[in-house]
Amino acid sequence: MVDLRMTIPTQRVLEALLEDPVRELYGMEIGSAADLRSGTVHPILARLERVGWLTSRWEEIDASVEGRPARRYYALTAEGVQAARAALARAYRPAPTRRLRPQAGEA
Amino acid sequence: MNRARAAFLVARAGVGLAARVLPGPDDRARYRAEFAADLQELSPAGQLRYAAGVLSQVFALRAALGAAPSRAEENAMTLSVTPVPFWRCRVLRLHRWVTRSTEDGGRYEACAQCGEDRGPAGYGPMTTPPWPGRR
Repeated sequence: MVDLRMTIPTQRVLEALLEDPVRELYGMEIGSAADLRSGTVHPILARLERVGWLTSRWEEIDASVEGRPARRYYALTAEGVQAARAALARAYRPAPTRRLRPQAGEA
Repeated sequence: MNRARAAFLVARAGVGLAARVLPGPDDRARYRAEFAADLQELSPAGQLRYAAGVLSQVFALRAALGAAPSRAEENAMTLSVTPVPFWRCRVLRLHRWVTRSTEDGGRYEACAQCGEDRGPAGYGPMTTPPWPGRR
């Protein structure tokens, strides 16, 4: 499994996508759900897509009928769902701390 | 030309400029269209903010599109690891923590000597999901 660096923005993007793993979201929706600024989301999506956690496709619409251009939709792959859950679980795990020692006066 | 139209044209020029920095023609065309689609649903001020955000992070996107996904390459790009004083870290646990950035703008702390990753920097306790006040 690919080991991605789980930065806070990456965790937020994955959390947003895992809310409903089968639902497709476009970039701005993901940014809103993850509460990230524009420009921050696409590098993360590109990295996730590059390692196979995400897949994307163009929306199939007639732009002249809809009155807007087609959006690019993203969704987690089956592997991505598992990998994202595992990565978030690892990210949430407490960091290793120094061994506790009894303080002076303690038993 | 009204203000809304002017803002849209400036924002579209901004995202077009950002797309030109990307590595391949396919990526340039894709992201130009993707950014343009996002602009459509924003207010004029929002369009300008969006374009500024995209421009400010375009080199991160470029790195994400061009960078290999291996951890080794990520480390090579983000850490200046020196092989000499590992024993100080491994034996004495004397790390030299410094703040680093990933290509997507995230901040984390890593040892400048051995490269050990201590996790996110400056976001409070690392053991409290979800992050308080950040959802």
